[in-house]
Amino acid sequence: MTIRRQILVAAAATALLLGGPAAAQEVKGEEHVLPNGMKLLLVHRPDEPSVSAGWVAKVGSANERVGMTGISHLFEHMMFKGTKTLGSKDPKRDLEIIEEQETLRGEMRAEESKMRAAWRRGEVDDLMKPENKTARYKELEAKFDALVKEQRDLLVKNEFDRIYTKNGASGMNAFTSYDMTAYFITVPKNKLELWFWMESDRLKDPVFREFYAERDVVYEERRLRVESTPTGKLDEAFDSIFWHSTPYTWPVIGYASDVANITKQQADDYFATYYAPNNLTAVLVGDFDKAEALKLATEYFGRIPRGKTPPPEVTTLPTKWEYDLRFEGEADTNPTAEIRWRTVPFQHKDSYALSILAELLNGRTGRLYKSMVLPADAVATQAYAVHNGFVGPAKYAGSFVIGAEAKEGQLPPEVAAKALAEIERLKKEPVPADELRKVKNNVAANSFRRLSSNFPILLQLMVNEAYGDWTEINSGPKKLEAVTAEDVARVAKTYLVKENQATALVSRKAGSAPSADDAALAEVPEQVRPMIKQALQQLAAEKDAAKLKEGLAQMETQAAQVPPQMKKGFELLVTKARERLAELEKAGDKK
Amino acid sequence: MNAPDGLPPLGEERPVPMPEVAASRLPNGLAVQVVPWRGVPLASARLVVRGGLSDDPSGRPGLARLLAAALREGTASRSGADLADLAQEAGGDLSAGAGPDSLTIGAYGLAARLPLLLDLVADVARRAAFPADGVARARHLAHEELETSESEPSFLAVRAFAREVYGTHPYATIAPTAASIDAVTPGLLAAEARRRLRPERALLLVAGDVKPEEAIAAAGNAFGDWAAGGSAPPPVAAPAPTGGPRRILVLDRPGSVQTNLMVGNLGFPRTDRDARALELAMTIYGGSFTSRLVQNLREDKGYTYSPGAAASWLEGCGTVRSFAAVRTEVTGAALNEVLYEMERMATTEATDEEMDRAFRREAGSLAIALQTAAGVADELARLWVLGLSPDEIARFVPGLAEVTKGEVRRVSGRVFGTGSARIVAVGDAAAIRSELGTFGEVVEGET
Repeated sequence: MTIRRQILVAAAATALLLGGPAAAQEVKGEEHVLPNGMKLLLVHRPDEPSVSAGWVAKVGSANERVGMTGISHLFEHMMFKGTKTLGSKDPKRDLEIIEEQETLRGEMRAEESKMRAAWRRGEVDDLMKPENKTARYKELEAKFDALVKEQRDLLVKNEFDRIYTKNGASGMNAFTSYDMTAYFITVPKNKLELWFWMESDRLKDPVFREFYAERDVVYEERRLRVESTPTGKLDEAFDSIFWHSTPYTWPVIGYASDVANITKQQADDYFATYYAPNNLTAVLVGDFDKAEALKLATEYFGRIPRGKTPPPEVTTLPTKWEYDLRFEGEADTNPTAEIRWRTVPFQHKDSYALSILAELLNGRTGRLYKSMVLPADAVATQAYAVHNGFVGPAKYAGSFVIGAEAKEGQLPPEVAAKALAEIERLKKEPVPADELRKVKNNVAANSFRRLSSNFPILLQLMVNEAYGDWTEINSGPKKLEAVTAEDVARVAKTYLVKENQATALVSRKAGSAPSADDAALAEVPEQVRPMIKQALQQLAAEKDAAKLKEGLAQMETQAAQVPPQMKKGFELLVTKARERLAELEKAGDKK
Repeated sequence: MNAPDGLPPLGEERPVPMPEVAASRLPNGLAVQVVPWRGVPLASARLVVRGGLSDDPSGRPGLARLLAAALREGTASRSGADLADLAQEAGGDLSAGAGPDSLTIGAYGLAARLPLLLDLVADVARRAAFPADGVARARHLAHEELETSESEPSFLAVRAFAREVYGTHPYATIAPTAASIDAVTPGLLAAEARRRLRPERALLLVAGDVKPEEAIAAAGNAFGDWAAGGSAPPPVAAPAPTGGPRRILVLDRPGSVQTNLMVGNLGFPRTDRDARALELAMTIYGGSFTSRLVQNLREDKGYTYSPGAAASWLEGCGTVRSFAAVRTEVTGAALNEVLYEMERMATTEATDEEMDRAFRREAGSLAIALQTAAGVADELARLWVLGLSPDEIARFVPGLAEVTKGEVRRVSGRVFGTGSARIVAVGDAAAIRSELGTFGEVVEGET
């Protein structure tokens, strides 16, 4: 085959090419630690006339506990609410109002406690409904709202954002994940001092104004991302099963009732522990003078006192289960199958082979696509594989994920079986050298691509630093390059086994498929389509499993005699009959 | 507003540097632009062809998307898998996509493999074969994507809004329908590819670690003998104004905890003299975190997490629209605030502070967007599709600086009129229907 030879030769050439530039692309970071424990990482890149700047707090939802889940993410919102200097026309009165609000909130919490007790007794349903609140609570709420109004009149809304925008900065944002909370922006190179001033101000003297209003915004964010999406709640449930006994079992955005009950006192304590300089790393990437940056960092970040108590270490280690956990659900979505395995965390010696393994399976050139999507008897329309996804949970535990969306007419269990067959093949047959070479070339080219401008470099440095080591940006590509075919087979045999495995099978909620049958029918020759369509309708209405089973057995014995123009339609009928039978049997089991 | 104590002083606005662009044209009419970019040894090549969803024949909605999806499934001499393998071997990937006004075929990878990248793009553009199994696969995937999209309320709102504003114009279509997906055949796609993909309506953009003269020579090798037969599709017509009274379309999503609201109307083409004023007006109104809409709906009222507004620039005529996913109980109240903010833009002047902030934000965003080769290529492609030259990049910020408050108000008067606004609400109809009725005629539609 000419094409194969062409790839082999070219792949060798690419490997040579990558050897040179890859070495030249090393990120040269200069690390400093200020006396208060804050870490500073400087990367000088004169290519672009701006500086991408950020800092990462080594705290995320993994550091939370039930009862205050979502606090890390809420904090990300609160950090934009201003400081003693920014955000209020009358900072003195503003602080007084916050005090008064807290006193009222204390009384409101006592009422909330009574309301929850009533809920446990079954006297009221949804605690958010106005009619379920006590008379005293409503009275307090009115007083509280009056204070909020007074505070609003004093606010200089979003002064933080306004000042940056005015200075031509852009891309100000932040994110929270399981293992980190990061804040970043890109500023023109002559605005570096402004960045130090602004960021040190909000770390030193933050004021959590509008704390309770921001909780409501987060509540809406939860509705948008979780409750209004077809699979949001299902994904959350599968995550919690898969990650049980690890600090990743609750969602980053938090449980709804936790978000609604986080107190300002909890927020203050959390800030004092996790946003102390000794738990932060600031990173600058771009065109600046390093000595000047160090001087500014000492002057501005140096003002923040070290935390009184060091952040407690996360000590939970994942337990092993000894069975294939199964999760089944229905949603207004295409049928899918996803299989996950518990693997290893960031920088574990086996994590590199697992990443290469994922790439062998992933994408349009990957094995899953070639075996599940491309062939004539394809079972899926899309397939994917990933090991410890970017900013995913990875500091304390790891995950290997494969999955696919079922092609119309295919059921999730069949899709899962086909995907698993590829994993088994990887355990038994060594990966051919050219295939491994090709995947490694692509991995290397991708890591270059991420080094092509300031912002993606900043992002990777912050993420790696939060996981535990920013130098991964330089050492990781070399370790990926060193992975052998034997490593791939070994990690597949070690980790991708039933004892670590959880499978989610999601089927379509009945009645939510507008064009499903039409799509499959489109492949049936036109002359027989009406006949097949009618038979399909009868099939969908069939309620007797035994009768259907008999009919199906009969069809299967006739399979060989079917004339060519009927073949597609016949196959469709058999598939649909099997599906219907599975549904009926499942319904029968439940009774 | 006084600056807070200790704040370092505001510096001078620095000009946005114009990136180097080498432009050329092959004898067959293919425009070529090369953006040399040092740093990493990577390059990208993309072919942008005028006409996208806007070129779709009537009765075949969304055909451009299906065409793009099927392009990578194979050529006269290579299978889809071969194309993917070759792109991977060059250290990158091959892609194809369709927008309202364009079809794009792109490849990226190592700069040293530019001839291969160009060969892949040319092969797909000129010799796509649309094999039956590949087309069937593209159809399946399209069905699946459509079904996934249709389960998202935001998609339903965007799709219904386009239909409301554009009526029978091709821009009314943003995605194929189940029937139009089923109707696609290899023969139809091959005919469409021949009709649409032609050198005289295409731009080849090469960006990355390349020498312009070498890139142009390589482009000549790959595309020099490309010739098109038959006649090209006509340019897109301007859509008819919507007119008539305000209209509210409600799409029922029973039990939904949020309502996806979309409010707006037609805008105007990017070549209009008010285009820059509209950019500023949108930033002030709903295009940034400190904008009026975000301050009002999110920060002040807490109705929503994600309100916003945007003007879309299309060759024929884009839209100006506001959007928010709000709590079901405050649907009417939120719509009231949106209409209020629109009226306020149309009838009162922005403050100096708003003008300054919007200007600096726009200028800063452009400067940062132009800091990567991909960012420059994106901008050049956008301008070309809208009929503007690369010089527009250099003219944009000085032009923006000249926009006055009066102009922002005038342009707001053109686009923020609420009297004939088209409104779409996707949510629990039983809970929101009567409230919305107080704002105008309510029509119920199918999701």
